[in-house]
Amino acid sequence: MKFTFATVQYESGDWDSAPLLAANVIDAVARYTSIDVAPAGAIVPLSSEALLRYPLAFLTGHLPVRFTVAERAMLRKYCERGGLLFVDDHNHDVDGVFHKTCTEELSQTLGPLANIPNTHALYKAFFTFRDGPPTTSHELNGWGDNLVHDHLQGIERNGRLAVIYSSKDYSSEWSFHPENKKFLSVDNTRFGVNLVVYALTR
Amino acid sequence: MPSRADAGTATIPGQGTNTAHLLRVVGGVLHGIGVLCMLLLAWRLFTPAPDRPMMASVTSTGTIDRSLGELLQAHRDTIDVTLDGTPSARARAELRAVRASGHTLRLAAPTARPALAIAAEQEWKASGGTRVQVVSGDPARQVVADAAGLIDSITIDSAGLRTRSGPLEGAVTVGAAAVTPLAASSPDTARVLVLGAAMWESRFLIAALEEAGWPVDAAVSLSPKVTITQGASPSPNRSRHAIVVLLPGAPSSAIAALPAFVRSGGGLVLVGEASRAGGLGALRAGMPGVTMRGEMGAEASDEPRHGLDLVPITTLAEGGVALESRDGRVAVAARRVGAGRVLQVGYDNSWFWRMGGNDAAPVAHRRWWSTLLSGLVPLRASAGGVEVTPEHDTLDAAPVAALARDLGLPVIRTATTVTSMPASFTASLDPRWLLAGALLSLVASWTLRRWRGLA
Repeated sequence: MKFTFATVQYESGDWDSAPLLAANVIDAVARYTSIDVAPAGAIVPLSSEALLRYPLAFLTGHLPVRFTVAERAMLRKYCERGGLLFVDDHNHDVDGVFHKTCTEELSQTLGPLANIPNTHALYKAFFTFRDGPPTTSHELNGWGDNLVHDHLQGIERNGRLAVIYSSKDYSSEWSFHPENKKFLSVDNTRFGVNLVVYALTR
Repeated sequence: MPSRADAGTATIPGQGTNTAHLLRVVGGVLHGIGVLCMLLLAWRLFTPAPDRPMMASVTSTGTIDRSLGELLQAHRDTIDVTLDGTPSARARAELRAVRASGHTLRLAAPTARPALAIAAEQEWKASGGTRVQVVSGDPARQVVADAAGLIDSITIDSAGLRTRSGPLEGAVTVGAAAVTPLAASSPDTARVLVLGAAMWESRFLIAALEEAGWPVDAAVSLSPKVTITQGASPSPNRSRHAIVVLLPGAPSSAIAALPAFVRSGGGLVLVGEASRAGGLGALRAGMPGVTMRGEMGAEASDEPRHGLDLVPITTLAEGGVALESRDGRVAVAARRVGAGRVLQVGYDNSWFWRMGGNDAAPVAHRRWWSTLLSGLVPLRASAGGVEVTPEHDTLDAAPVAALARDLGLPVIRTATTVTSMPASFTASLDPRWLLAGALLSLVASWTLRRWRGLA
């Protein structure tokens, strides 16, 4: 069975705001590791049992997020059983609607978010990020909330991260045509490899 | 009319005639005995004596070597052994050697022992406990007790096997039989090493084992040059690891060390496609067949493993035992290799059972894996002491089964039948006594004849 990068589809908001992100993460995983990765990602409804076939799933958006009852139940089941949901705020704005509503939904469903220490295994899972989560060009350019977020946030289940929440806007940072990666002096999707490797090994 | 003197004279010849007649008869009898002894001697010497069944009473206390030694001195081809107890590993080894040396070995037991087998092993898991397995051909109720008193009664069903787990003290008795539980290795030496590639199966298997209380080391391959390790020793190490779980995609350097690891007493679990790895042919419990896809949706049913992909075990290796089947195909099998054990699990991607199964799936998945691995932890004797077989660094955990495997089960004979088994007439004739009888008889016969002649 191959590793398949899954993007979560939810009823509210714009779940498909970063359509090129999956291809770039898949490219990075295939480029740097020998993980047997499916060449195309999958789109999985959050309320569907099919989500359980993808223990790592990605959720993003700009718009307000309100989970349905079925989506909440499935998200709870998914995390209890060992799934890892990576949520990224495409607005990069802690005052934005996505951040406010999504963190509220996550807290109500799974419990409060807490800062992930920058010494966490996530930052050494494959590449080493000594300063924690890598910054994005959107942060450095002062877009969104004009903040450089020092930490990612998370929710643990059974001693393992079940949710990783990012306000850094990796959705924008990684959403470019894979052909253009060759123009980057440093591959900015390397942290995506860490996410995948962490999910597969911890 | 004869005078008194005549009468007396007449009487004396009559007495002499009787004495001579008596001497002649005795001489004839002695001569006959002598001739008979000569004939028997000739018959004994020229007629091959049939095998004389040699009786030996074998107990499990270690007297078999002396008994057999004396019997073998007699150069008999057939040896009958009456077992009055379960022979120890050493006694079985002696009997195997006798059979291998060309002798016909016939085992008998004086009474039919109840068909009851008990195995008691301490379970290696965080909650502790002792697993008692009882097999009986007689579906009867058995009372389980330990040193602290009665515990429970169990009814052996038609399948013949009942398992009971729980905290027990000291020796375990089931009915009239008692066993000393075998203890699992200490946690320090019961570590599990998981070898595989970075994929969901390794991730969820490690999680399940850790949640069940197993200390886990791991070496997970990410690329030809990068392996993620967990724990101090990422390669099989008998001094640290009790069990190695081999998943598909494991580093080849670690696989090369597995045969020696198993032969020295380690446990090995081959999972799914990993059983096809090169260099493991001598370890496999059976040949892996063509992979079969799981039944869609079955992972959430009452038979969740029907939903998993399966690499069926098509042909069991010598000594391989099927432990679980699916649709008539062997799904899990085990065998002993050297002093170690190998478990071949045909199911692949069992992680989906945990993720996609019903509400009980996470616990069931964890428990299933933990139970499988519990059977591979090397056991050691507890305070009661269990004999260690000379050929394996392992315990004599199933002496009756080993007896059946090595020598066959004994034939049930009543004590009367055994003791009344007659020795043949020919075999009972000792040539030395026959020769002595013949000589004495003929010499006595000759002496009497001479005496008669002198008289």
